[in-house]
Amino acid sequence: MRKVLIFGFGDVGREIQENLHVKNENIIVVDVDPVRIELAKSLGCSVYNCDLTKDENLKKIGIGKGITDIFCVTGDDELNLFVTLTARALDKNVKILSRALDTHQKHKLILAGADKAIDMNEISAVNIFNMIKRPKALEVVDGIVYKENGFFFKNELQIEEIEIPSGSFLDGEYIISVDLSRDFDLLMLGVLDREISNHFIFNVGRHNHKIDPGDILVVVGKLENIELFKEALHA
Amino acid sequence: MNKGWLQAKLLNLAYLPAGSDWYIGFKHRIFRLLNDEHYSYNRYFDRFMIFLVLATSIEYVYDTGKTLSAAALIFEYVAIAIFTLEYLLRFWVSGDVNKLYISMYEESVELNQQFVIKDFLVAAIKQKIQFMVQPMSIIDLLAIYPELRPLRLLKLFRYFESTGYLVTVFRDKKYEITLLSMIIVMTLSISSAMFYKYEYTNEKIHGYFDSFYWAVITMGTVGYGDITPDTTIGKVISILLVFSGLSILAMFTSIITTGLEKKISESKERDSYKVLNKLDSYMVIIGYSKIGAELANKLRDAHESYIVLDINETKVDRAKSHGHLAFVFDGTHTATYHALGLGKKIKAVMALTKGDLTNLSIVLTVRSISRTIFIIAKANDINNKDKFLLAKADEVISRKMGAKMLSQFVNNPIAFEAMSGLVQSDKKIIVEEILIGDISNQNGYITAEQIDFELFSVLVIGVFRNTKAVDETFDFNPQTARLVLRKHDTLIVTGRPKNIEGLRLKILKVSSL
Repeated sequence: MRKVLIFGFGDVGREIQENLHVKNENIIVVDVDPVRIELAKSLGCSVYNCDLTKDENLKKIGIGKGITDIFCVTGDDELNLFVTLTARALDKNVKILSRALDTHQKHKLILAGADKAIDMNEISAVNIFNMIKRPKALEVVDGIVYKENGFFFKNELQIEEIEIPSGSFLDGEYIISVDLSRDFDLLMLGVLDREISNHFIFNVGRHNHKIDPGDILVVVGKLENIELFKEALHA
Repeated sequence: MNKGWLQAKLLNLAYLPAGSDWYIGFKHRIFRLLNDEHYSYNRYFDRFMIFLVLATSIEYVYDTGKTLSAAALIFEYVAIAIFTLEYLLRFWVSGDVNKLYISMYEESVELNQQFVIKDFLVAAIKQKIQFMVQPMSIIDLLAIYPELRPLRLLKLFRYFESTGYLVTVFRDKKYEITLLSMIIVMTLSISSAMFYKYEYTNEKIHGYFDSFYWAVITMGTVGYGDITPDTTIGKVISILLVFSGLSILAMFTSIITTGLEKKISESKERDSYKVLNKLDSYMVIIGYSKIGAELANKLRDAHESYIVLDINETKVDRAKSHGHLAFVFDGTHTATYHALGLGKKIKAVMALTKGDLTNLSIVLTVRSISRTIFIIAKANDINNKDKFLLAKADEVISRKMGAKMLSQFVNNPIAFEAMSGLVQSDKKIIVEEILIGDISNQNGYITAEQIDFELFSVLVIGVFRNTKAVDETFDFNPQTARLVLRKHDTLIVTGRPKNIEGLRLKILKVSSL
């Protein structure tokens, strides 16, 4: 089960809490602002009003013991960096996602051990660029990833990660010879290979990847078709 | 002699060219060829004249002490002919004598006065003399004469637009230069008079002119030493004159330098506008914030036309130093957009300042001028998003996007990784759209067989049918082997940029078969 720590409950933290597919009781919010703490509490999150620059506070909250994901999303670059670094030192496996205020900070955060660092300004710039350059492609991606668009709802398109069980009809097949499009009306974007260090292989080009049990297929399609495909896998 | 008859004849004569479209057009073209830097042929004319000036000047130095070869002589005659023709053309286009006649005649008729031909002649000659006494016209005239060939180099000022602009420093600094000249004249007259008085017995001095010559040479700190003071007073005058000469030179230098500096920055500004005028359509980024800078770089890398506006001069300078076309402008003022040719040339406006009030004001201003311009605004406070939409911004961006992205890394990280090729800039696999344009074959459509998708290693996610029309539909996950594409369809594909570009070109080629 996922247990998520959100450090910094400003607009970004708030937005993350809203978008996470995680129950609020499994979300821990840390902030120094009492108003924000009250808000988080009223939403049903566990709250801590403390200084995370102290190691003992991080331990007390549960880093290293049960917390699976950490968001460092305060508006203070140095604070995000510091918490990223300390959390990484306490737990090798926790997933750390940080907010950077500029590009240099992004690289620093990655060096400090963040799994992903996002520069909000860069994301905004890329977004504007896409709105101008390739609005239709953006519409499709937003529709599939965030389910933001009317007709994607209508078509009920879903993106789904499906793990290949052993002994299924795909076990041992090569992705080039699998045609999910014809058989299930599903679009296979690619496969995450457990053998080669969690490397995602896109279903483009002439990759002749052999599907093994434990690999994760990423498919897009209507919910009912995805269900049919899952049933077929487990048959 | 019948005066009325002459006047009527002259009037007819004056109306002859005024009524001829061909004549007016021709004269206008000649005028633009000679003077209008925006006229395309003006550039070729200028280059040709520069070549002619340089060639004849080099010849002038090279031929010193030699007898001219026949070829050189012919070349010089041709050059003289061209320079003469140029001068005559400039003389011709410098004003319209016939129009002057008509207007003066009509004025006299209206005021019920006697029209006097002499008045007209005086006015016409005045108009032409005005042209002849301009410094550049004088240079043009003198430069025709072969013995004054080095003067032709001065003509270059005319053909290099920016250098001609720099000459205006002297005009702008007229007051300072006049003052300085008066100081120079006074210093020279006082010192030369005194020197003459006390060095009267100096055997090198034969008159007042020698004394004046000595004063100029000394004040200029040249000091040839052909005339030297004998008396103590003469030496004291020399010392004082050298020091005043030094300070006058320093003053002169500083006047010219500051003037030039100002002109150079003005000239750069003019160049930016020139580039702006050449663009057919462009996007406007308002606010050179972090997002603005990031976006400007992306647009530049994609070879898009854009400009950056900011109210803050330092930020505009920074944008310029990053290689963007930038101007100090207030985006909330209607006048700004009129100056930039809005409606005709601006494709999109992006309001990215750090203040939501300013951004909102920009959106409203732009929307009030044009309904079609694509407006993207940044909501610094997420809660203001609705207000921007109310103000009819087409898209609103906020930190929401980044926050949403971050949460996807926890929700379904693998799926997100697969689809985020578009929203993240550092990806090897991207999602791209290909709009189908005109199809010129008789069917009006192209088939998958013609395109041969297999060649390009891309994944077709779907096709928008009738993009941007009311009945737009999205065809998800089509069978690529049986795909048929028509005009205004938009193909959404994912793959490597190179392959997608290849596919785009192939589709373009197939469409035009």
